[in-house]
Amino acid sequence: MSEALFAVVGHPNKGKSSIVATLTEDDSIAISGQSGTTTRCRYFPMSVDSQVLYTLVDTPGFQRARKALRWLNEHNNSLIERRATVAGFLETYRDTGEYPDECELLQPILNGAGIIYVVDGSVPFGNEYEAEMDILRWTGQPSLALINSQGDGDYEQQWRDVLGQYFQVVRSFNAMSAEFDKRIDLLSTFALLNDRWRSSLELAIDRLKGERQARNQRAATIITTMLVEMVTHVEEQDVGAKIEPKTLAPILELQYKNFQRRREEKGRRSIEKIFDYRQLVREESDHALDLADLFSMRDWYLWGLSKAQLTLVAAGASAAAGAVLDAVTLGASLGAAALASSIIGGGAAWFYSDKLASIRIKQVLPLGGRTIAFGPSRHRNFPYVILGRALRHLKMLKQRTHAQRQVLSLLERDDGPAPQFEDHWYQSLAQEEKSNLDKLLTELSTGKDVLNAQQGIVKMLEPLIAAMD
Amino acid sequence: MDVGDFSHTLSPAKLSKPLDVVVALEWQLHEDARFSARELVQRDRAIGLSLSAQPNSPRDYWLWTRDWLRQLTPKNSLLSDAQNWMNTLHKVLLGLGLLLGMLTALATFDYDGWQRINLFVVIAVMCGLQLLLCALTLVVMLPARFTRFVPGLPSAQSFLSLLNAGQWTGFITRLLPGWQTSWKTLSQQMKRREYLYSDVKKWIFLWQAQRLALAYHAGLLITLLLLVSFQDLAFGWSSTLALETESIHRLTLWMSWPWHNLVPQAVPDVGLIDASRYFRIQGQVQVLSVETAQELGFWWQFIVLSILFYGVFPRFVLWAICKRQLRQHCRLAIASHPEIDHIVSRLSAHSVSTRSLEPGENRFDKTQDFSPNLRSKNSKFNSLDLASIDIINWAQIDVGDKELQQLFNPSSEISDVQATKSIAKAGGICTHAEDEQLIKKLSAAACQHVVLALKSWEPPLAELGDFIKALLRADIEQVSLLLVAPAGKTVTCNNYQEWARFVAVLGEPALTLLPGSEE
Repeated sequence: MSEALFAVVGHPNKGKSSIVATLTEDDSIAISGQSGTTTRCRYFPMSVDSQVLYTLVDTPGFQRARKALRWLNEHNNSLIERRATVAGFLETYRDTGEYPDECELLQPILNGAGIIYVVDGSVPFGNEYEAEMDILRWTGQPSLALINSQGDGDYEQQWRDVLGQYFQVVRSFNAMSAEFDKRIDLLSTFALLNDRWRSSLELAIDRLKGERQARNQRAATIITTMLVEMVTHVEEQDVGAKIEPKTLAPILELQYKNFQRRREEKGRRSIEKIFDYRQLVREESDHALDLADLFSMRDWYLWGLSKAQLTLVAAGASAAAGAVLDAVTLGASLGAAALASSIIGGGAAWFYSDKLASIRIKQVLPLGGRTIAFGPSRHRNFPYVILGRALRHLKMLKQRTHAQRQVLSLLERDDGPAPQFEDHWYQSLAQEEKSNLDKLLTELSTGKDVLNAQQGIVKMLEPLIAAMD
Repeated sequence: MDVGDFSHTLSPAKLSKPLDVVVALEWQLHEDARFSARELVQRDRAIGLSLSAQPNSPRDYWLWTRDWLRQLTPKNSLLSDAQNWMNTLHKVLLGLGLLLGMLTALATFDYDGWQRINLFVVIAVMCGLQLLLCALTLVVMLPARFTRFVPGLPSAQSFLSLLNAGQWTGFITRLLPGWQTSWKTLSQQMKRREYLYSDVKKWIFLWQAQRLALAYHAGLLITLLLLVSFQDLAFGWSSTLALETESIHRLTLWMSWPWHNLVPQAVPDVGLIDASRYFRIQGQVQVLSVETAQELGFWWQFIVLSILFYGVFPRFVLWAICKRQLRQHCRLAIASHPEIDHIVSRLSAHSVSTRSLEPGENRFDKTQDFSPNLRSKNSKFNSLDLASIDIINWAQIDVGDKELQQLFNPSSEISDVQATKSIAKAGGICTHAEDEQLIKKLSAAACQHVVLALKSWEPPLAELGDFIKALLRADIEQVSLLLVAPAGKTVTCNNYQEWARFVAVLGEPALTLLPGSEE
């Protein structure tokens, strides 16, 4: 199996580093609007169990292409010697500092790298590109052109017409928005450059897909663990026998909410780490301003279920309990218990839908005093809200690439309109899945069989998360 | 610590007990939160290659987890602190048990030479009470699948759990120094997984209680043996109930059945029992003969063996059950742990890496703003008289000469006479030799001011810098840069900044960037 090498080259500031950052999922690569950010070649080996399958090389842009081409023309006598002439150019100027960028970017190509030539499809083609494309052709290496549109303009066809004259393959690839499948497609395209690289690239693609699947499964577990810990959390305080529990309610509620916010934040950081975001800056909720805060209950119906849906879910669960009573009476109650339970359950969900949790005396201590507890939350919508917020964060992360440097904003109100109901994650579930999810979340809320509920929720989330790719 | 450095900086830790593995697992998960998934796979895959086949049973999961942790856990980490702290807690509990046992023995065997030690009290305290406590412990130990069918039993279990001596650990932990450090972090992490560790916690408390009880009995026996060795003790029995000597003998025979063959001298006979009976009303006046007192002392062997068989032995059995159950529930908790599948998957999955091994570069200060100074720069050519300047279209911007001249003064019309001055071309499709020719031509014509019309959307290149320097070397007094936007668009602020930075980096006093129409 031959190790493939690809040099990402082109004009300065056309997104070479962005493409490398996206393909390597490395958000530490320096990317800026300033040209000349990259001055040295940087190698990014893709390895599986320490075996390198391919290497991407981020290179500086051409700075003196016309002058270099002039030298090449002056020192070449035949087509057959062109590659040797380029080697002669490197030999002559490698340590002189006269053509530092050209020497740096041509070296990996002369070492056998395939050429990935990057242009910006949002600006018009210019004559100044011809010299650099000519130099690349002189090297005789297999080449591919990528049209990476960085702005609003649309000059893609113009570029295709030009690039088609120089490169074997021309593809469009937006480094800022390319989702996982598109990145894999691009790697498949690299295999077209040289047959010797096909097997190592196919293996690399297979391993990257496997890793993606494992990451999705991991994300499902992390979200579920966070959900379990948040839903089952109880804030406790040991107090003397004479203290009235209700006086402690505001303090315990505050501590309870702080725990939930911290736990949600921790969950988000874990998810970001799974997808290798280390430098990500997130614009998080501001509970002081009530902006997209976890406990901003007026927004709960955006994240979780609507009030009507919640009532239906509660009524359905109560009806099931009532049906058991009907069965006990061997049908003598003619389904009245199911009906009554459904009305009571649904009504309770409607009228008490703003109550998060209640305060209670958990236990009397053997040496005097009591343990006062706040939580766990019995609010039917709370687990749906946690899930909804976590899935939205994950979706935004998956729609992002490692080339993006802007802040990830989770502030709903500053981020345009609220998510449309048809896009809501709950809507994508089949009726049977909705019932199953409600059953599992009820098991979780009541603490009856938390481990079973946890395993069930993980299984349910896995396809939902995989579908985001 | 870098995740990749573990093999160099850490040495295998001893994790022989399942509870240690649970504690180490939670600690490792706490530590691993700092690393990305890919880093963890790289680290764990190397360990995974040295492990046996995929785990299937809870025992396999435990073994894999233990072996994984053994290769990860440093000797002197905070985990070791937590474990040392836990050992201290165990020692405190054992010391407490020993002390309680000694105090109980001193109180029960209090003998001032006048009144005999009542065997009923001794047996009630040393055996009866212990058997009752063991029975209550058995009730607490019953699994939920049995208790849920007996009304009231779960509540009774909860209540009895509160009385369990193992619960004292909660109070003791808050009193011990070091609570605020590693152990607190760890216990909080485990508390968040209450649903997973509730059974482990129950068996820890029960196990601690049995250890405490064994220490208590050790205290009792040590004190009793010391008292027997260094004091004369006279035992007797006394009761308000009309008990016959025969009844008491039957009771003692029944009690001493377990050892009657092994230690026959520890089985009291009728004579001893009869001689041991006393009434308190005789107390002050009855003086025992030396022989009688010596005979009454024989009871100590019966008492020691009673403590051993009815106090220590049941506790030892319960301790063994608790230890076994604790080990089993620790293994179950590890096998059911939400993270365990991922750990196993990391150990067995391929390690994928795409990152560079070299450090990255960051050359520019993103916060530096170049434009304001340059835009206010004055020069004698600010009037931009078209007659006195030469315009060069760099890299062949796709605009006509007249349109290009119009850019200099958008508010006024350019006459045809003015527009006739030809605009030179350089860069782009022109060869480098042609650029050099143009510079020579401008120098020969004594040109004073050159304006370079540039594509605002393209980045400034070094070859342009070389061209500008060559112009200035050829006695051109002033070079100005005019940014041109694509058709129908304006120069963006970012583009302007980029070009302003280029001018600043070149550092030529005779070079200016002309203000253009911007966004």
